[in-house]
Amino acid sequence: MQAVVQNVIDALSLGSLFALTSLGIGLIFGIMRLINFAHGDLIMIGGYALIVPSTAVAATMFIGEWHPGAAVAAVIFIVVVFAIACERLAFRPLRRANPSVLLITSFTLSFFLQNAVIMIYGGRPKGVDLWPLLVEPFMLGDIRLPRLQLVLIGATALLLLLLVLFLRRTAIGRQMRAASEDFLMARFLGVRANRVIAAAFAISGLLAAVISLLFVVQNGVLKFDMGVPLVLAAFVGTVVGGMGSLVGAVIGGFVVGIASVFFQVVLPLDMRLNRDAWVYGLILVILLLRPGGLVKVKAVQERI
Amino acid sequence: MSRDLRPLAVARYVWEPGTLGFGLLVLTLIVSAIGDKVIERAVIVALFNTVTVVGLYIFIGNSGVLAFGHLAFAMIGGYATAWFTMSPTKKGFALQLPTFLAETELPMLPAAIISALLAAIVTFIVGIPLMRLGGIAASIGTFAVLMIFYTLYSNWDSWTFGASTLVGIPIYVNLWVALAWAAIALLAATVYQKSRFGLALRATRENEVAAKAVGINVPLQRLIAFVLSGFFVGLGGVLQAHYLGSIVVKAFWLGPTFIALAMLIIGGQRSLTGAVIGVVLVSAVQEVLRQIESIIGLFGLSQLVIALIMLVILIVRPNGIAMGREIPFPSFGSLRRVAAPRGALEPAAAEHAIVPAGGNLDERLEAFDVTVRFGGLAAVDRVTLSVGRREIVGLIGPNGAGKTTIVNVITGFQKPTQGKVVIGGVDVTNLPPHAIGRKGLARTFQAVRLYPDMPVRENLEVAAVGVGLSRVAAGQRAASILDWMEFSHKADARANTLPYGDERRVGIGRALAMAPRYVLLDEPAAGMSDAECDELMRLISRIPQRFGCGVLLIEHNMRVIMGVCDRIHVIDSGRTITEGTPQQIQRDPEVIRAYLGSKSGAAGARGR
Repeated sequence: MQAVVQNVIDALSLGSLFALTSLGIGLIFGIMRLINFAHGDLIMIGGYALIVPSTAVAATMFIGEWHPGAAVAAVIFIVVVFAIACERLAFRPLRRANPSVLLITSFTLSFFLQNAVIMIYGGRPKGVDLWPLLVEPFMLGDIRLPRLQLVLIGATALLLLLLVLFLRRTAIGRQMRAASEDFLMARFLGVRANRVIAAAFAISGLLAAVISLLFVVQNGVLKFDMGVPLVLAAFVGTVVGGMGSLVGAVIGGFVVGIASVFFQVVLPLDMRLNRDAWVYGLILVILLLRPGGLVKVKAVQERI
Repeated sequence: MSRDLRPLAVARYVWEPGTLGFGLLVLTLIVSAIGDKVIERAVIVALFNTVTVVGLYIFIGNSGVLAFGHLAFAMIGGYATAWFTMSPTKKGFALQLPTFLAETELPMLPAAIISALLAAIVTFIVGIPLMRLGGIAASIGTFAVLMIFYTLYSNWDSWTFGASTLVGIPIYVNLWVALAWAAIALLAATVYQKSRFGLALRATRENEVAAKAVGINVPLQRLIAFVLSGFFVGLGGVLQAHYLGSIVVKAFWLGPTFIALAMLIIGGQRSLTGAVIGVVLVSAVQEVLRQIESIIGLFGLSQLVIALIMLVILIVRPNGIAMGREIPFPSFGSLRRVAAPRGALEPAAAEHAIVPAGGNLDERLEAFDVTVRFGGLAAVDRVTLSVGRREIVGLIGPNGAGKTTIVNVITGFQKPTQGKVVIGGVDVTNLPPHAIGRKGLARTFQAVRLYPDMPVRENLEVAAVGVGLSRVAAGQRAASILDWMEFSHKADARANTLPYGDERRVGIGRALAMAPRYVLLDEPAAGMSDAECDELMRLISRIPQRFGCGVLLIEHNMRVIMGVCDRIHVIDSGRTITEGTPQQIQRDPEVIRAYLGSKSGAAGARGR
């Protein structure tokens, strides 16, 4: 029983992590056809924000020591500022470029940010101990429950709900939905491109900030490339889910997360290290069967 | 081609690899004369990186699809050559290979080729699912490939020594070995690029929809280039292993992937010249910055600067330094003619290329009961029409009547909800567009969709190659059609430099270059002046007789329709209203109502 519960929670929490990351990527892709590889580095920046201004070899926290509410707000603020700055400096000049150029630009930006962090903080991992209480499990009857993973699942559910409300109920949210259906038409109808895109980056920055906090609590380590595995999983998640669909992005993220835990459980011990190879192999098979992804989107298909 | 011009044609053919290879040779000679170890090292690395980057170029440059997973193939090649060439004692020290491998010690050259072939085989296997994905999804899929092999090799202790560095690989790569392989890679890339496969793949890069329409199987063409590029990237990995004498999986992860892509893109991914310029430039910048780095102790600087250069290039010059051009072939007078692609020949030879399409001239293209529903709305509702190979049939109707949807159904771009399409008795309803194209059905597009960055001649050649001709025969056919259309004088003009009316004519020429049995023209007269329309009418009316090819003409210009059509099919709101000769149609009250929209008529047509 304990094992089953633990596996289900593992699957859901890893799926949540990937789904939130996919969502941050999918949101921007829907509007401007940019697959943002640098999204992972926003997550990384959120982590390093905790130790600014210290660049000592052993990390000392500054923002990370604040009251959790203030720390969360500060990290969100910093990451959102970075996200919007990335848009202004790197992506806005390329708004008319095709998706391939945008993708390689974001890949370049990612490489730039990572190397900037290496220059400032060095390439070695830094241990940080953020909110240790969250990591402690608690007992429910006979079953030991991991607090952090439940928080992660809860936070994901909450964020998804808030995002749905935002997209459906607010003016800017509706404009974002219109823009991802048909950006040109939306602009003809008075949607301001700069505002919508800035809003999308801000939200994706917010999602990245939340992920980075949870990720740092979970792993207790900062590293310049800590966002890479997340962003790769999320990339694949958005493709499996169906590019251009937010629902697809969330589903795809969960598929990758659940598949990871599944292989973790079923693979024999000596093959477990190869778990990711199995997960992504499975995903290639899924794509062989459904090249368009699980959720098909009309807006992405070209009109002839 | 007369005999004395042949050497010049050969010179033209090997011009790019020749000049680029010569440049690298000069570089190599200078370096070996200087004899500075640091510079020599940098140049050797640049030369085997040329092999890798040219490998990348073969796929990325010609297909326009970015790929991030190629270093996995370099890794596969590098480890394979280690297995084949390390001495059994050294292998025994780090690895537990199966006996047949543990005791094998192959000579270097066969080992290199087998290892690169192994990389190509793996590329082929992963390429099958990847190349079926659309462009950007395929790019992301390549990340998955990189991750799969990186994970496997990092943990495959008995074969790869895990994530640790495997040492003891024989070292034989020096300046000259690296130069020789770079030259071979350049030559191979040229042969591919000038083959029908390279041409077809570039057409998919220029306009994927129009490439499908001329019979090009997009996933297949991408797969061919993918495998070839896997071979050379694998070879790059082999050379790296035999230069360093060691190999480690970390050297094939995202950082090195970024540098390899940066070389290609900074130089310009759309030409071989760009690929080589990029390698040389990025290598030089890296080397200088590394020196600075070690002096001032600021690590990460060289990567940071490369990333910055790349960002600037992407923003101000997205096609890189070379901007998609090759080094121009010298043009002095008569040599210019030789410089033109193969196949632009005397009319006598050209006659072979323009035979009417094969098959029975009495067969028909038929669409039965075609219905297309988008959601609840029927865009096309039970339309039946047919075209013979000796006639021109007009398809008219008000805007939004469903004309283009019918064309899309017939050509396979839109699957009908109901009904079928038959060509000469063969049901083609469920075939993909390129297969229908190869059955003898050509089309033009409302949006024209030429291959913008190719000359007019190549636009036509692509279509001939798409239905299976060799490059030479395709060149002859293109020349003869341009001649027939009286357009030969603009054969070398780039398609994106043409005025609008010319674009549409080239679109028709391209469709005819498929030697189709039927051609579907989607609003060819749109935006044309009266004089241009006259010329167009003359062109269209000569098609059936000249090519044995029936025409389905969609047009709003009634003068054109009435002037060339044998029969006219009228639809409104997705349904057939009537069908008949131009005279009958002009008198038909239903047609007049649909077009002039008298109140009762409109209600009658839509209200049911």
